[in-house]
Amino acid sequence: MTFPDGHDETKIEEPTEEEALWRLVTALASCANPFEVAEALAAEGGGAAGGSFANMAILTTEANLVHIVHRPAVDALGNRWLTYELDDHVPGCDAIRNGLPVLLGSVEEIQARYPLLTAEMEEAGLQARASLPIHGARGETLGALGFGWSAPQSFDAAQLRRLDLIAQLSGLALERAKGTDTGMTHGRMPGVVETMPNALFTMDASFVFTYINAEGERLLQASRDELIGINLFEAFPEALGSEFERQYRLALSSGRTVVFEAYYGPLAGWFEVHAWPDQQGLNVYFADISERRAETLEREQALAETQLTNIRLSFLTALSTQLAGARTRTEIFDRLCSSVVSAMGDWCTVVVPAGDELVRIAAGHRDPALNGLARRLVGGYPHAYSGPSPGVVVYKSGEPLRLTQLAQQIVDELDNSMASAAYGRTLQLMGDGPGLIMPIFSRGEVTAVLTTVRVGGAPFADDDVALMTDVTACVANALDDVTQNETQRETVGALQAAALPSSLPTSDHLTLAAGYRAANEGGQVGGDWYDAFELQNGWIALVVGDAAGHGLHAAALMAQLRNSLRAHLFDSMGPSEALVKLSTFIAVQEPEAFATIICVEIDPATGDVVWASAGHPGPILLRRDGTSQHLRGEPAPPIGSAHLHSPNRAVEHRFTLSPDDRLLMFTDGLFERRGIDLEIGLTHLMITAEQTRNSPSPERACETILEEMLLGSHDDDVCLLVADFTPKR
Amino acid sequence: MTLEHAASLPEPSASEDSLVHSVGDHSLQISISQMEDRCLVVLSGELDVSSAPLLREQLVAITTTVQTGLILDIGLLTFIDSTGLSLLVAEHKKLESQGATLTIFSPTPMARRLFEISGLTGYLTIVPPAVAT
Repeated sequence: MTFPDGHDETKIEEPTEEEALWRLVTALASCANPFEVAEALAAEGGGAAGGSFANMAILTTEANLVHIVHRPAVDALGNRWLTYELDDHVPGCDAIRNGLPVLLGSVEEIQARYPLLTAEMEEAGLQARASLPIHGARGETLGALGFGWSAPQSFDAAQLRRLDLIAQLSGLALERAKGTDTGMTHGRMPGVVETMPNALFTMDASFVFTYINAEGERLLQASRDELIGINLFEAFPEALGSEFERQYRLALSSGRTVVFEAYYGPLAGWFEVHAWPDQQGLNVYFADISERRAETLEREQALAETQLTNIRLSFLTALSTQLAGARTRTEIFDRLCSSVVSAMGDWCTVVVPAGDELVRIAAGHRDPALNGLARRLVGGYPHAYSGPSPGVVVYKSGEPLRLTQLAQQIVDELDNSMASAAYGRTLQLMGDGPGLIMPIFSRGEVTAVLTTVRVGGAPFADDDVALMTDVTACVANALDDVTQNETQRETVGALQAAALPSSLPTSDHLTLAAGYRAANEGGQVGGDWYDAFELQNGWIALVVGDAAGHGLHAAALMAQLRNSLRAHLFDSMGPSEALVKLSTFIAVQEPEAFATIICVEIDPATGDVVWASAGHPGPILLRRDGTSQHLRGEPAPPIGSAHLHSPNRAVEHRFTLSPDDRLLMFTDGLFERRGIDLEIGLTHLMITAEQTRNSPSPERACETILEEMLLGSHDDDVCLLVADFTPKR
Repeated sequence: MTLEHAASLPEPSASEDSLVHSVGDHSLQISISQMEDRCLVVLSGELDVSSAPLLREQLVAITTTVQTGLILDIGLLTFIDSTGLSLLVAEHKKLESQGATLTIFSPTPMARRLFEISGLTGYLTIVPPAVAT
């Protein structure tokens, strides 16, 4: 649980941020057209948001296109307009389409939601992004604002208010500016278009120049007097029959924006061209990218050369650091795959023996778009030891194997089954090329097989095999380390499972459901448990508890607590007395122990409830009439806090269930989140529980609540027990 | 809040008898001021399953030398989990059994809520005893 630090409200704004906001307000006030608004935003918006850049996307009304102005911070080419389809999966377009902000607080989030942006963000040194829709006075969406930060952002309330303020200011400015300018029209262009550092010209539908700006004149090496009124192919005869003509005609005939790169011989340059049509003809926006192309080629060449030395040398060091942090076999192989595809090949898979076949446990692809495909191979398409798979060959021989066209060679050997066809297709889609198959040894035996493929790349040389041998040795060490931990986890897990009841008592009047979720893989097995059983007098006892600590000791303590409490409750001494007895027993037997427990007894005939808690959160009661309540009660101190001679007495609470009421008991892992207020967590749980009120069965409600509350990772284990009072009427 | 109530507590004086030292890693910082017969321990950061062993180690050393009382200032803790809670309870029991007291000083509202849910409000000695709302 987190305690508010109390400083948020009085947070002092950075003076520079405040200044930037004022500069932005001043700049926006004097904007005469949407382009000036976009320019003002790009110039001052980043600073005003406390970030390193801002851009603005303007939604065009005619063609559902989105124009975005980029600043140098994110684009080495300098200011320029990019044009997107409204349907494109970029934050700006998503914000416009949904009318909701897109907040990406970290590189991981960007990677997860917009994998294609990751490289661009890295290049620009950005670690967080946000896009907010810009609304007009009538609530319509005019465009979107984009922001970037060079550090991860938490997007607290104060920051969101500020971003919203900038969006509102932009909306006002945009609305006002639209009244005076209609955008990319022909004839007189707004001053900003004339002076912008990007080249722009317009043509009518018969390819006659109608406008060209200063930068356009420079790039085309011709003045506007020479060009305006002249046909494109008259002025530039070489363009006839070229990519330029083809693309321009495509834009005009389809009514869609085209984007392409092409070389124009007479000007000896490569151009990146965006052309979008409107009623008057075609707007062409272009940049000379000759230098960028040359640089890219040079960079690729240089990279290829250094790859052989630097990258491979640091690869092993990086890999062993990576693997040292892994806590499970799966984590080791996942990390191995991502390391291998970043340095040694384009895709790779790992198979491990299971029964009489090899099963794929990890896979990865260098291309993020294909990585999902690679990962779908995990768990599928096992190789029987008797089959022809090269993986099996390596598994049996323990010798590395090189193949020239790995995918094709595997496909050739496959049978005609549907499964094989799908497998072969997946391999081909991931890309074919030279493959290297390596055995991974652990304690003298082949424990896994690693397959690496270079799509269309150079065959694996002897020094590649030598390097990969070092890699597999590194993996073997890491595997030995986790094997010991995993064995212990399995023991604890088994103990935990054994302590939970194999079935819940059934009754005509009381329907029960329960769920247990272990902490995420790599987390510790904890000491949470639930219990439910019928007492001698026909009442049903329900128990949920949480023994502190993790691992073997917590699980053993939990089993002991559960058994003792069962015995006490079965003697019909009532929840309070049973907890006192347990508290005394533990003070003697396990003076170091610490646990919280809630005991609830329900009379299925009448709905009468008696409950008591030792340091445990009270139950949530969902009433049939639509109200819900967290019953706080007066808990006694936790088990383990009492001295032998002064046992803590738990207060007994009583109430009566009405037909169709639902009662929930749970451990703190269900609502406690680091960084989230305890009360907010409880409220979240109550809202989630209320939403399941109409679930026909407590099983469904239990599953839904666990699923909703445990989205994302949870480093604690969790129990939930649900009881529906459903007497026959 | 911490400053307001600090006046009512024995200030760690700069006399020759006092000893102040700090330990901690990035998640939990522990500052210890030892006086003649009592000790003030100021915690900041997160007290959880990973940082509790560090505090336990420090408390073991302190507890044997404390004669009258240990004051644990938790006003700067941002997170306490059940392991952290169990450590506070264990320390309370240990000091009580040797005739000394543990005072939990300046808990945040959320820490108070945690003590309340865990039935520890009347069990631990908490200063100030209640929040004026």
